[in-house]
Amino acid sequence: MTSLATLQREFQADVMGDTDAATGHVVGSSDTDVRARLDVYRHAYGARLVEVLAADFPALRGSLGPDRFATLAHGYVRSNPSRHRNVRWYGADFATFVAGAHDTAAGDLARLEWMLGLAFDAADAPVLTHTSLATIPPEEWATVRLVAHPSAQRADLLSDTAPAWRRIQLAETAETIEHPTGTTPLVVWRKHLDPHFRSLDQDEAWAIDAILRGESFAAVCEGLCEWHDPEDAANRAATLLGNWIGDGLISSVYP
Amino acid sequence: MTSLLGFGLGLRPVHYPDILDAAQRPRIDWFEAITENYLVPGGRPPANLDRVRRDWPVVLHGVSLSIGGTDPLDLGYLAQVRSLAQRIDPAWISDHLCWTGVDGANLHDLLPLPYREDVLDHVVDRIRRVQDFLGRRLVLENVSSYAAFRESDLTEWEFVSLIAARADCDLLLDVNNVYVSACNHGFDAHEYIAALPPQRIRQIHLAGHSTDGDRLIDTHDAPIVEPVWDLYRHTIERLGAVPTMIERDDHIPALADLIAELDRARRIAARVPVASLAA
Ligand SMILES: [Fe+2]
Repeated sequence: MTSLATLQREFQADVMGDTDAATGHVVGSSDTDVRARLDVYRHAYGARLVEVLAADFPALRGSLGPDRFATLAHGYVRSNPSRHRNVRWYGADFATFVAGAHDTAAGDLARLEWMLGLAFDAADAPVLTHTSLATIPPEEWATVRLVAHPSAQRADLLSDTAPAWRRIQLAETAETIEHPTGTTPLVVWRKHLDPHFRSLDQDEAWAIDAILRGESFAAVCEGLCEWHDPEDAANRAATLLGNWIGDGLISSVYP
Repeated sequence: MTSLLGFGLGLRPVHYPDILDAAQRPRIDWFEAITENYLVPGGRPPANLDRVRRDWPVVLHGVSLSIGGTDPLDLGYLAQVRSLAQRIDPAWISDHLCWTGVDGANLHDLLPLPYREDVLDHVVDRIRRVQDFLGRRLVLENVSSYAAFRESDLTEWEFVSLIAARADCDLLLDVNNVYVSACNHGFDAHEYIAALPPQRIRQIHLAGHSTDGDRLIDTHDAPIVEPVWDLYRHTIERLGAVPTMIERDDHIPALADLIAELDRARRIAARVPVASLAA
């Protein structure tokens, strides 16, 4: 008698691959019937995961069109068996796969979509208000650290990525991504339960990276001197902080 | 533990506005939430589930426990389920009598088991350990299947009944799954349902399916078919008023349409003679 573990291994190999690994285990009126029965599982496996990717990467699908998207997604399914209990995380490596198997522009669009998804269900945390910011005594600003909202993520993506994403939201037609040179820094986060993103100047991108690394606000001010005179740097830091608070990008401060 | 009665629906995100923001409370007695959909760090999914839970009883229905699997039980997953249950206080926690993958892979499907003594022992042991971990009885659902194994020497209904008795777990009877599997494997759906231990059946699922050649596929993408309604009537004549709900996962219609379908289940249950309910 075949052990349950062996039976499951062979059944799984059959469902995932192109080998008839499980046909010997299954009851049927003929070889064709046995294969057809196993094919129900095999087809459902590929179709289900491609559907999951289509739901997680609608803009990429809109951009490439359903056929090219399906080819890419099937390629990912073949090379990436799910290791996740929750299918929510299945697409985690899809952007990297798309960049390699298609091109960087498509990869960056997928990356933006995945980041928006991460922002959607990132951990909950309070959002710092202007009022609570005002209670921080001036002498503490030398050492204070800002804690970004858990949904906040930074990336430098090809400059047409964000415009392409917006074009696809407006028109449901297939849309080619343009291939400009250079990248644009973006921040992605969740505001009032919905994912948002905006593009950043180089100095703000650097400052958000510094906060995500856990650097103090004083270090952020100092670092901004790379772009500004020392006096302007402090003003710039204050302006940025005001914007971040308004955006709900900051959760808390600690001394 | 919350008790639960009446007629429910599978909670689907597309219906949140009609459930949470409707001027009039929809005619639904309880909701079944897919456990994994809420095992995310935060944001809208848990917030919406909390809002639903404020107004309705909820049951949690998992799809990846892999109780029939041969990989070790995933204690990290079980700990997540337990803490979700602490927050949501579900009437019960259900999953499927199946396996979902081996060697760390997950096929995200409900795969069939061979029905034989050694598998029975294996699954019973795992159910007991999960029940100890969660501190409550599990409710396990019969799945639709398209393949049966040569090395099976019990019928599916014998296997399910023995599992429930030996593991001391409860059952979620999916009437559509019985019908689909009966057609695919050529057994008698009535014989299946007659063989199950009535006192262990906590919940009933109803759903539609699709046809692929001479096989039925459990796609949850269509209204419930007449033979499944007949089988449901037959089931509650035997079991009495078991909490019943409709699952719909594809081509999801407006909430009102699903409530209309649910009303048919209500009418069928209302017409079942009291004598047979008491029996
Ligand atoms: Fe079901």
